[in-house]
Amino acid sequence: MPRSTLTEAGSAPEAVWLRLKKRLFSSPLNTLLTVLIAWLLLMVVPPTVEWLLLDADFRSSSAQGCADSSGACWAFIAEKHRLILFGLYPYDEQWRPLLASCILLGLIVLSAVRRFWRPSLALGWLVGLLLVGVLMWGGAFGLSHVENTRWGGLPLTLILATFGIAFAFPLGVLLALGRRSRMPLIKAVCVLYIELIRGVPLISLLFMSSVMLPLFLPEGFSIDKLLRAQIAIILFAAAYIAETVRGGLQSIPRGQYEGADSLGLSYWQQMRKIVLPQALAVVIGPLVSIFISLFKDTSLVVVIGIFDLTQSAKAALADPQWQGFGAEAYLFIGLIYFFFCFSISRYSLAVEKRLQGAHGSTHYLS
Amino acid sequence: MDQPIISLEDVHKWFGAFHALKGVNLQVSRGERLVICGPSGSGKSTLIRCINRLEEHEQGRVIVDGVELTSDLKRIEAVRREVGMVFQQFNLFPHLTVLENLTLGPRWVLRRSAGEAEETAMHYLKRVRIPEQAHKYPGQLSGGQQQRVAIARSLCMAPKIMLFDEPTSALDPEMVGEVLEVMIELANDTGMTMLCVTHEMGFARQVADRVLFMDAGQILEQNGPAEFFSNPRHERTRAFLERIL
Amino acid sequence: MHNLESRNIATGFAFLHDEAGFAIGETPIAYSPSDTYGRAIAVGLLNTLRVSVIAIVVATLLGTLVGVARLSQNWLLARLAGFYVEVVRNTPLLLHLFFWYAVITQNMPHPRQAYDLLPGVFVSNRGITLPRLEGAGMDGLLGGLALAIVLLIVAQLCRRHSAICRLITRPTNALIVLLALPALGWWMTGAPIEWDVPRLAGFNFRGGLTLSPEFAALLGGLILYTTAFIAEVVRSGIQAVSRGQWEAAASLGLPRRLVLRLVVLPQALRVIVPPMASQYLNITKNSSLAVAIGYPDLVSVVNTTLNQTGQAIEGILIIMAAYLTVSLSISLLMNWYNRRIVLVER
Repeated sequence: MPRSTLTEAGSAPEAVWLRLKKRLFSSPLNTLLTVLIAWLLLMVVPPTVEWLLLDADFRSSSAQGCADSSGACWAFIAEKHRLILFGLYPYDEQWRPLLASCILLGLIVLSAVRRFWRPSLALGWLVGLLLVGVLMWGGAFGLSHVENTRWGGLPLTLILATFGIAFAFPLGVLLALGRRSRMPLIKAVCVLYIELIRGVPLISLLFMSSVMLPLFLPEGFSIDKLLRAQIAIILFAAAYIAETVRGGLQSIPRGQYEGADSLGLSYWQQMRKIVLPQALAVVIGPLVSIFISLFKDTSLVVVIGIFDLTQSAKAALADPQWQGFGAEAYLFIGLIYFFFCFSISRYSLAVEKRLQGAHGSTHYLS
Repeated sequence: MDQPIISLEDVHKWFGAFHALKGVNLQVSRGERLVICGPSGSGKSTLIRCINRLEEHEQGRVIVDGVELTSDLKRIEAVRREVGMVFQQFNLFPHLTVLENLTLGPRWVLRRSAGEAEETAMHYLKRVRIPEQAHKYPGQLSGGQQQRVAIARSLCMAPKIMLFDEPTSALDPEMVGEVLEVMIELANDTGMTMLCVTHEMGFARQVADRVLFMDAGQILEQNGPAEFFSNPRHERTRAFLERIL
Repeated sequence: MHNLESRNIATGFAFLHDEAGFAIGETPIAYSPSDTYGRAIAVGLLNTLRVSVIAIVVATLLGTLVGVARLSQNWLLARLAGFYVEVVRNTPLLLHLFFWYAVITQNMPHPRQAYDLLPGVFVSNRGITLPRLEGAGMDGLLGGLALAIVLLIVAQLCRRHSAICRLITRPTNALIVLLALPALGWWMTGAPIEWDVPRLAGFNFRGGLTLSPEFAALLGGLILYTTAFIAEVVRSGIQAVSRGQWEAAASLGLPRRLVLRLVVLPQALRVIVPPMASQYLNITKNSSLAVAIGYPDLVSVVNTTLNQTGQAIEGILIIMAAYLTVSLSISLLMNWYNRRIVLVER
């Protein structure tokens, strides 16, 4: 579409300059800001790039070689990446967690594409999860058995996050509905649960789960540490999901409920077919940020000694032969976390845009 | 007095791929009253919003009271001081009282003292006939009252030109009259240049010096109100008038 | 219950009077291993509050700036702010803490070669060492400051009813009060105040105030992390104000910065307050990550206590009670503020 700029512009380069001028130099304050920022970037970016890439050591096989170079020591990552990514899983069997991660990721990506929302997807999930279980645990089909205390790194993070979201979401929805219930007992229980859990940090819940649960169980019966952590994560996220969904439910005009009532639908039919779809669509943004937080919060299992991605990075750093490369290690896993979280948030933006087109503009805060 | 106070020369505007204004030419003399009508999407609002730079024209020239509108902030602010605008959705500031709404512009833009600004505000509140609402908040007023406050708010800046963007379209029918009354009084008692986008043809007949019909980004027809309503020249003008009258 | 008995663990809170027997790295109040568990837990609580309050104040200021910057018309500034927010929001807080802790303890030099940012401010692998104000006159100064703050808060509350309150809360007058009362307090004590500038002595610094690597990493990480989220809250709030408000203000001839200050930000505030409150709560709860880098906050201290006494349930109850109290206070405060600024409608 022909878009010549203002009348002062005679040619294309002038047009580009005018656009630049408007965005960067439109006023004295603006110009000053631009100059300051440009100077800041010039001071910071070249040394960082030097450290990250130009002076970096990609290949040496010992800490000494790395310490000699003034740049980042990516050789450390090359040396340790399997420990970081897969934790203490037996070296030769690491193809199994790798495959399991790919299956999980594949399932998640498939679920994200609308075209695949069919009953067969649920079947796919079931089969996929079974496969993941078999791969990780082994003990069947000729695969050696690997205790889940040896699971670690990225697969563990993915498992904790996936199962966390999968169970926390329905629980959260139920809690939200329960909080709006007219039956006083249910309402009280839900309110108490939500407010208590939201008031305390996840770390304290993790401690609770690892310390308190054994006390409530009969002698000799113990729950797997990983399971305890998983339960704590699920219970924690469910409370936040409940509050967000409640906000969505509140934003549905009463007319919707009345319309559904007048059609003679039962409570659960109303919820499933009319109220929940609208409520959830409204709060997709906040829900996705809860999911992203959940993914990041899996790193907290460090404090109860479970080997997620963050913990395995720490373990890699504990090697006496490779000391002092904390920055490299944390940058490496930081990139991994960033990749996942950023992809999720971009995806959610796309979904929101599509839904806004269908529903008209919705105003909410995430 | 010969120079037009507003001059649009071959003005084009695109919204992405949509060509909203197709080479509009318009000259408005000082003190002239213009009513612009036309089907929705014809570019009427875009046209007047280009005059106070709420929309940026992409081709052509817009000259207001001798100042050509470009991306230069100083010029834009100078023009906006001389041009007042009344919006379809009133756009009163909900966190300020009516009085504070009216004194905001004079105090912060015209640098008047608090006392002066309040005097001016009460004067115009009386002219729009709601002086007793001075200390209420916009949320406590009816639509018609809010729009009258909005008109007073623009008047407090003593503009040379007043733009009205469908001022009564968002009002309940029983309140349209009170706002139109105020606008007619404004037209009759002051020498202000007024451009009004509206469907209220009764108002046009009473007050306008010229009526413009816009369709698909162009001014198709313009004439004095008597001629315009009795002898529309264009096919589309006729069709439009038939539909709304 | 049967389990507890079989393990010989007592119930009840009597253990709080027993001797703690462990040392704590950071002690805002005097503490030694021979003090009680109760005192140890109090130290932990103070540590948590200390880090949370500072983080809340600084993150609010920085977050507002970054949020407004993100909407700036300067393309470079907006993109830079956006980049910062996206990077920080998509990485776990724990990672930030580990990263900064590693940077301070591993990449920072020995005190002898410490980086000297400003005169008297040193950054080394022992932490950040700052100069400190000292002297008997400090009591007067701090007393005056506290009085000034209380006075300003009270004045802000009674603004609607009293002209004096309105006078005091005008920005210039408020500043005068904030500066004059502490000065007056100091003058009244007649005692000296001097700078205690840290000096290198042997292998470490002497004098001044040293922020331990744990505290510095925790505070820095919390601030950097939460600033990004607060920036998003501020940005959403500003964008929630309808375009018509911008247009109406602009068409009056107001320049952009006045439009923001007089029309948009006051309205944005109403949308910002609830999510801002939950960010404050998050800061308080996130401070519990201190346990992972060795800063003795409440959770860390209670955890140690738990391990030593085996009184898990009581320990958990203490933690929950403390955090719930803080959460409730912040919620109540925000609700009250929210009600005060609600838009008046029919």
